[in-house]
Amino acid sequence: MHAVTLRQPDDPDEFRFHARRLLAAAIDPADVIWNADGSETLFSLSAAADSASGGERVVLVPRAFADLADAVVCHRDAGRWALLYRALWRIGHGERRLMEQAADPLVHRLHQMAAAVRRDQHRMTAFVRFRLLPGSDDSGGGAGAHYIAWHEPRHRVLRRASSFFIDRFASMRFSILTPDLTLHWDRAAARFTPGLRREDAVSADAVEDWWRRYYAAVFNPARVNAGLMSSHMPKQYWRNLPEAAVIAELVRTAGTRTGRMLDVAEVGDRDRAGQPDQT
Amino acid sequence: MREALPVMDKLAILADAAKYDASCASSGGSKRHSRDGSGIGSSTGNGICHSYTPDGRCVSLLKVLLTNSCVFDCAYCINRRSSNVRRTRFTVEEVVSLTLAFYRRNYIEGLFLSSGIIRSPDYTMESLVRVAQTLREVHGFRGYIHLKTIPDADAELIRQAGRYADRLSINIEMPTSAGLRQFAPEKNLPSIHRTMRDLSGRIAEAKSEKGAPDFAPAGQSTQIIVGADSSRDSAILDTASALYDKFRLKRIYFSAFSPIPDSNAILPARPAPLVRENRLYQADWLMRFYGFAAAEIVAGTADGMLDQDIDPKLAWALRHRDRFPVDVNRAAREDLLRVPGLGVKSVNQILRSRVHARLRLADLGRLAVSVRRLRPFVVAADYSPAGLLDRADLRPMVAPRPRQLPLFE
Repeated sequence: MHAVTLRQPDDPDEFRFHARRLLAAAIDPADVIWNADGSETLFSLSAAADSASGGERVVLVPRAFADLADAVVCHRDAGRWALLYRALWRIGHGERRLMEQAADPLVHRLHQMAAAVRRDQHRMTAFVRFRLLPGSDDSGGGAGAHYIAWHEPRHRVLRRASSFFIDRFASMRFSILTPDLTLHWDRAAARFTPGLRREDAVSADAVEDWWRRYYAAVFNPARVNAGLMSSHMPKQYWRNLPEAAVIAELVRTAGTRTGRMLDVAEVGDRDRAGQPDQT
Repeated sequence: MREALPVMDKLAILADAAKYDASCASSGGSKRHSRDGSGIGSSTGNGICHSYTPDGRCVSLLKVLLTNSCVFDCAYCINRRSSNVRRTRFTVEEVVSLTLAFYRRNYIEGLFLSSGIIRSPDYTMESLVRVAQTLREVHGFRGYIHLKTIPDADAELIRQAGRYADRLSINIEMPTSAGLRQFAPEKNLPSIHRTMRDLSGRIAEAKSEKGAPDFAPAGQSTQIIVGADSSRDSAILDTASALYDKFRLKRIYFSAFSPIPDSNAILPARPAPLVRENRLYQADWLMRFYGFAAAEIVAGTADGMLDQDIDPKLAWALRHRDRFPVDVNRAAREDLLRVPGLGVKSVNQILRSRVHARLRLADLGRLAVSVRRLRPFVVAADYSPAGLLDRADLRPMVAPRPRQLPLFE
């Protein structure tokens, strides 16, 4: 039995480093225990695997696997390392084109995990809400302004999503806080520090009143469909979305607002009956 | 003169006035970023829905009118001349600073700016262009901009609009020219078509010439209101199909007629069912991504109306049972695309996978959206539907079980 302890829970390079050594030493996936999150281990990587680092057996990893692994390592499923290594093992043992077999149960499972990570990454780019740090200067998007966001992703996606925020907001100083990891951008460089708590973020922003007013105004009460909304915007994200505070009220009053429009329309029909067309 | 409205009240009025325009896309723009620290914003080419309102619609852009005053009197429109809504108008600076304040907080992908027609087409178009120009040139804004195009506006204004905007749109609103005459007598269909044709030429030109300045890289779109006039689905799909062909529209939005405050008497008193809108979107999808022609989708339907209980692809398959079953291990791509329960992605995966191994029904279970719907229509390595296709009760076997309808967009 071989145990591998990874220092970081979401680093594809670290996984590749260990996986390559295990593969070179021909260590069967069934004989490996993967420990992430820096937990203490009973076993350490065996001497056999250590000594095999010279790489007698070189497995060329297909690009499709590398892309998939980059996403899968961010998944919270503790079994992710073992699944990835099993796939790599099969690729190295006669199934070079395994990644093209989307119907294979293992490939299918990995695709599902990668899809969940990508979906969550997309949701981070959608649902992060910045708040201006009180006391920092917002005049003309001024250099002193510092924007803070608190976000709770399902998977460890902040590292993957970071380039999106930097590409978009490079001229702003900002920090994105999550329970796992924090990203700081100082308008020149990115820095990752350990996760923080919600209380460490900012609790309000004056622009949120404007945003809620806008959100309420674009809602069409005649089409109310809260289930459809929740399927796109799961409730677990609501507590960090400033606009979610008005959802209950909008849903509650939708029926009366629509009824009023319909009543007026019908009264209008009766009043105008027999009159020539107004247009 | 009334007292000036607080800007937040203007926002509420001008957003409410814009919400009947269903378009919210923020995709297809040219790829941009502001990594160099100048300006602000990016466009990845993929849209992002930053929120959803309780009607299930996405909020991607700050969607507002510059003004809700309008010289037109289109019956279905909340902003028509004869409506008694409160009128107001944003200044250029107000729209610009709202857009930037929302954008910096990551509420939106950008701006969708429209306007009532005031004074003249040129005056209105110029006001819209000025907002986009200020965002782009003064603030280095690289987010998404969608501008409404005013038919018959000056060519130079259109050129500028296309340079600053990712997408341009003109709404025809009524599916037929008769409907337009009845409901929007001041709108002029030939002039709308002329402007769409002009945009289509400019968009194609900018795409084909290397180094040519951008012109609306995300293309043009339009909207058709469903259920305000008496047009059948067949007429709506014919119109949509012609618009895609003639003017290479990127998208057509269907908007089920929905009651508006201070409604006009010639409108129906009741809203059009949302399921009708959903079925039209599905049919539109079939035309754009599945190789169906409009005529095929509506041929054999009752009175040219799509079946509201099942989606148009399943309905087509049930009417064409002789085209099935399709062998998933041999069939051509275009035949696989017609199988109910197989989406474009599933078809691509089937084509890739079957090179390596003959696919069995369990494999399809992992690749398809719904095996239940698929079963009667396919042959797999270990499976054949036997007499399923001939059964009189096939429809209830494959029809979705009753539940709340999801709008698939």
